Amino acid sequence: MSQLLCPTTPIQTMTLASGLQVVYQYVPAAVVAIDFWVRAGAAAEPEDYNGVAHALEHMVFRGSADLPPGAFDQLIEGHGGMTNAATSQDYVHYYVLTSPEHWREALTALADILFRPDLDGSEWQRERAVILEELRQAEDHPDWVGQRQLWQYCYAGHPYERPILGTAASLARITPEVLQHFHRQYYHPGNMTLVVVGAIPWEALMAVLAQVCPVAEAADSAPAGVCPLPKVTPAYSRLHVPQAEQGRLWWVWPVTGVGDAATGWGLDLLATILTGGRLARLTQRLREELGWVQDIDCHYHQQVAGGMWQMTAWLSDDRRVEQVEAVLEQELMALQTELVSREELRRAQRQLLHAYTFGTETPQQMAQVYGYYHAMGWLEQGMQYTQRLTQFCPEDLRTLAQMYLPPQPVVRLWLTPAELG
Amino acid sequence: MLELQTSDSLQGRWYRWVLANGLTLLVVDNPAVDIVAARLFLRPGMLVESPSQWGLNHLVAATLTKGTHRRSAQEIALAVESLGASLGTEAAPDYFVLGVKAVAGDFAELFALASELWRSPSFPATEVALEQQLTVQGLRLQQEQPFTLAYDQLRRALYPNHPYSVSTMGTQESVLGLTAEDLRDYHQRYFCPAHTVVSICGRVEPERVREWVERCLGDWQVPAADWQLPVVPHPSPPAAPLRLARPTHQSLVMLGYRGPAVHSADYPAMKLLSTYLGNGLSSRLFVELREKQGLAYDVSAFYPTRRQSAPFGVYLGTAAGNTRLALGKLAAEIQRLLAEPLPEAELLTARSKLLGQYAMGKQTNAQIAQLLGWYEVLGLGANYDLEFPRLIRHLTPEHLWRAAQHYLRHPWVSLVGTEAALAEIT
Repeated sequence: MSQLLCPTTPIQTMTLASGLQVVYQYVPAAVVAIDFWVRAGAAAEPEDYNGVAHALEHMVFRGSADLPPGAFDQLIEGHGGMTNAATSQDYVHYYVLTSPEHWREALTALADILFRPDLDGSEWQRERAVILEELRQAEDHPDWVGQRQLWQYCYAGHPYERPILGTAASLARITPEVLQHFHRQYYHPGNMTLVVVGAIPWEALMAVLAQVCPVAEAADSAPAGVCPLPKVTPAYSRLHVPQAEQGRLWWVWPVTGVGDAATGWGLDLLATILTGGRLARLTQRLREELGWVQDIDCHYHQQVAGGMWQMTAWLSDDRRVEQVEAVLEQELMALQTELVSREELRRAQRQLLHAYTFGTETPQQMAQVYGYYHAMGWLEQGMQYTQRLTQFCPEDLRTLAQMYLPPQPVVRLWLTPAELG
Repeated sequence: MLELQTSDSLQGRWYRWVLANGLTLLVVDNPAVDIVAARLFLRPGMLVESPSQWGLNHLVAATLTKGTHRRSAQEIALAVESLGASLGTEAAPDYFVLGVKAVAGDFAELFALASELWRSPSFPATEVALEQQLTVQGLRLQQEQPFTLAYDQLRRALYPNHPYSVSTMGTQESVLGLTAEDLRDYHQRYFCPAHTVVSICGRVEPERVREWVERCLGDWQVPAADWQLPVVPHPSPPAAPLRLARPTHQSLVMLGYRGPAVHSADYPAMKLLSTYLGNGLSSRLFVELREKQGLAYDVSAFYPTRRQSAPFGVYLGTAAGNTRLALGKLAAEIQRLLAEPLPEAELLTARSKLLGQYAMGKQTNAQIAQLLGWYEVLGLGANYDLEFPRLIRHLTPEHLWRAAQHYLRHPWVSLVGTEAALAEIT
């Protein structure tokens, strides 16, 4: 039993001859997570072809010459596994969850469709129709509509301002040749990281990878450089969304120039102090005492070119929007002028540490965390999370609040079902 | 741990005791991670709510953590958040549940708090009034989603006057009619050891956990409540589709049916049919309507596990101009199931997928505690975790065909979309 209680085995990282980077951890679980991260998110798209990164993600699942449409899904799910993918501004990741008996064929098949997708014209016609439905569905969600607007304000003039799904017009411009070009440019081992977490031996993994990874092509294989964020013009805007049943208020601060993971963790602590639980300052006042919001959430989202610290309030009554804003401002001011008590800080630290423990219970969750930190270049720092998070003192948080969260946000957006008056 | 995780079931890994006061305790020792999860269940949840009480369990869930005879809402939140633990409540159609999760060292303290909430909540009137208002807003917020609108319309028609006809949050009218007194009466009458199931999974020593549960809940004495399950109505599908006009970008097209309860011999067959139709990238609806025809992004099926007759449905979201076409295609897929038994190979894929996903749904301690406790609450017993895969493996194409013939002959059609899109459907 004692060896089973051993909490974690070391995480290994390695760059193979093909250029593929591998992050691996042996975990004696019944599920193996295989997760390819490709540095080819929406920010890498040519402007005219906005949506091509996400479109390629869809097309990869349509298979290769050896795996016709449906064959890959059938192979994975027919063994009781599952597969999916997600596209962000910085990367696309493709994952498979499978059993230790079937990981070889799963990995071989996933590599095949990733490196050699069949980007055929008629298949693309069909898949474009699917993506247009995805876009329509998103447009029926007020939270998505608001978020898209926020990105436009926060990242004006930068690739991040464009919607990941693309638009109907940009999708119409994408042809199989555009997809092929984007694929050639970015889908090679030197621009990818593979994360594997599960009960499979390192040697066996290396043997399979030696077979399935193409040799790196030297030409046009430079990864996309993401330019730094431009200076953001402060904006306040009201957005009328008639199908919304409830108003939302966003306050957003773009965060630039963050070179380490720890700054982000400090910003997470500030978010936790404001809305991480019923006792948190804003939750306590606005939801529990005043009932002015149905819910309120703060979080920090770090991306390669810069992050975004945002507050979202789901308003109980749109007529109180100004009163809600006054409370937000007070609480932000307090963070810059007064020190958080040690007790409150300890509570926030403990909440985040345990949230991390609870959020890395399965191989899938672990692979996702490792892949994200690796994509940010912070995997080693990430493994120091516990030690570093507990080092924050009240003065650090005040400094962070002063630096990044002035009491007047950079971008404010009020989404309301009410007609513009 | 290896045994636990590599076997398909939790057989032989769980302990079950019934305490002297009638409370059932299930414990699974899973030392894989430094986390312990517990779920406290109460039968029968929303099933005892009359129409004027719909949403009562939900309101109990929202306020159970807002005060006990010894602690204020603030003190409770402080206890939980200082441990960095999680504590949540939920009203489900067939049960009420309080779930906690902590690192192993904090578990005893957290469980003692959970027990106090379970036994002696005070339901402060101001907290009840606040949560009532927030619930009404939550109901409004749900109405933003075309799926919810179509599903609400469907279940109202499938289960007139039955609790399954509405969200567990109730209706605006029923929620606003409830009082703190109603919540106290409900707690006094229904919260009792005989109908409580405690399910715990994590890095624990089962005997010591049992002693701790005994200390926290062993002296709890309340007579067993008794109740009658509501009568399940048997409406017939209307001749015309149910429709709701909304200025949406997509139409939501749904076909619904009255499926069997979990205790029915047909339950496994219907679970497999639902998986076959709508679960995963290789499912029939995904391949035919999304991959081949590009009609939808979201296309799926549902068939929740229920103590009484459960809704069975298939749906998709599609462009307004495709509403009629999509409805025809969905209906044709159901017709295909009625026409003749599925090819054996298709059944095998669906079976592997269902069993694989079932196993994958037991990866975290909270998932394991939830599943075993739920089976106990439903009266199936934790052994059903072993029984279910066995039943699925025995299904043949003929079983599925017969089940489809029995349950999927006459659909309730539920549509949400623009006036123009709906006008095309007769």
